[in-house]
Amino acid sequence: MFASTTKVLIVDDMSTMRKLVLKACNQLGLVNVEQAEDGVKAWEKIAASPEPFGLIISDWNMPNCTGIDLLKRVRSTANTKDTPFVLLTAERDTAQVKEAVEAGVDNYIVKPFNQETFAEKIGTVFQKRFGKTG
Amino acid sequence: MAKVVVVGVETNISDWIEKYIPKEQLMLVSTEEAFNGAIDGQLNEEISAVICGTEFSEISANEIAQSLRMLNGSLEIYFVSSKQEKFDTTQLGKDGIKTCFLFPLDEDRMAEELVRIRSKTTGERLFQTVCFADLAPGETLDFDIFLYMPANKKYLKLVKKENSLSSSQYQRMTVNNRQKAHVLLSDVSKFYDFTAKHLLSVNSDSKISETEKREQLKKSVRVLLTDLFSASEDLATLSGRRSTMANAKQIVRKFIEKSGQVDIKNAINAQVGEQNNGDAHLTNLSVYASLFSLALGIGEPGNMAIAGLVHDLGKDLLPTQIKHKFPENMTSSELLEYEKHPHESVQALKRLNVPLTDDIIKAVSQHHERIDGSGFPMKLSGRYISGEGQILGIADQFDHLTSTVEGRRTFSPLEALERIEQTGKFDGGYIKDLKDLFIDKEENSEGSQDIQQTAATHKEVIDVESSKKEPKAS
Repeated sequence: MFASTTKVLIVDDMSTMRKLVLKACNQLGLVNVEQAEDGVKAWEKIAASPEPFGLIISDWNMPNCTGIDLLKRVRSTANTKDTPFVLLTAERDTAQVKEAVEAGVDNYIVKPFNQETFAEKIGTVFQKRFGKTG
Repeated sequence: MAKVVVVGVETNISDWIEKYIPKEQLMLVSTEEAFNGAIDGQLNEEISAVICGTEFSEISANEIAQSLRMLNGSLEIYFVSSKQEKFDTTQLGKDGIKTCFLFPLDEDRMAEELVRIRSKTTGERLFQTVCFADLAPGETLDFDIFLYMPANKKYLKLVKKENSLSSSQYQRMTVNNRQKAHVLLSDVSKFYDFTAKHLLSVNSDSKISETEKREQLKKSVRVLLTDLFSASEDLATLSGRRSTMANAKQIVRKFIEKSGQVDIKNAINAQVGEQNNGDAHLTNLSVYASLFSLALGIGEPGNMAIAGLVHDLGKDLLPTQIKHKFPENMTSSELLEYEKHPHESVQALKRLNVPLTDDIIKAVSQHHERIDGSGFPMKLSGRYISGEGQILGIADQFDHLTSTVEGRRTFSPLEALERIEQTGKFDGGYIKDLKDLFIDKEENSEGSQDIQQTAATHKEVIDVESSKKEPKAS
């Protein structure tokens, strides 16, 4: 699992959802967490951050800049292209999943999800990226 | 006891919800701060359902639904609002809302759902009094029928669903020549369906003579209307009368569904929303026009029900100062504008781009015409006014005279029809036939002795406390 010092960015236009995802991160030991309310503000944080983010968890449907647009921007920028990226969505649309995979998403979580599912999905991302469990 | 959480719902709607869900079962979350606190505290109470609305400025119903489902993925979440512009049912559905209600348009549907939720949470079995318009021994129904035993406050299952009704069971249900009983609230929709289907099938039965058909339907409509205006104790109160009107409304709604006019109704609802359906006069008129149509064989009942709902669409287009005035108080130029409204109502219907039937157009355009030529807008007279136009016109006057209005006497149905007859402005034959629907009531006492005897011969008795009778209908 990601180290507790991993810098995490939560992106969602709904404040209560950001709160709930933060709680889920904290329960995994991820305590170094920042938040942004849409893709534009998220990119501003990413660009301005002195150290790189180690994990981005973003909602799909947001005003100004959607999660998929943010993902594409992250993947097309040299110093962020390898950042682990997880998308959250309320929809289970196969075309959407395909688009996300093609854009380079690491994993995809359908809302609502419980702590167990969240831990499993984030754990899978870590394993895929760093070849380690736990 | 599990709670029903009401989050960000308009005050008038949450007050209305309290009629159906007892206070001790409700948890009102009326500020964003309280909602955030509830999310932080993970809502420790057991929750049976959530009803959310649009009253929070920073937290949408979509967000409420998404975040609550994160805490409990199996929550039943409902949305209610009186604001049409916030009613994106597609997105709300994607975010986890089970059913959306536009208030007060969907008041009846929402009331049924609230009673179901309450029943599921408390384990109460709730009943509704129904009056069968046309039932005969040998019939098989797809719902149970109960009798209420007032002496020991129990509901007795008289007939099991899918069993044939015997003659003795039929007699047990008969009070004042009407078949009255109770059905489980969860079965009420089946009762409405049965009644509407039955009446419409008689209406379209080509195997019986027209005379026989009219007699049979008049008898059925007489039952429904007599029940509506009954002086019996449980119906004499406004809530009792409202409950029976709610029954009649639902039967008439089934007429509309079965007549294939749902598209018109939906188009009207989308355009006019609460203005159209929040008005008791329009609803009453829809019921009376439909039942009068069925009894007299004029027009098609579902279409006449629609005509009742839409006949004054044109009034909405009048300038505000005219719209809210009584005709007697209008200036001559205001009256000229006002008298165009039947024609404007038809034009408004045509703009909906739904197929309109002749009987709807005739009823709406002619409901203010009078046989002596004194009506409007076309000053038609005598036989040039259609039966549909006259029936709707009579129903309109009938509702005004029989409705309870402060400062004015409320007339009984017969008195109302006699007053209408005296004006000489409608066909006397129609009035006579309609008066027939309200004559010939026999005042017999309730057969409580029979019910006690029946209890001795039946084993299945459901014990219900007297305080848990049918909920008040709105």
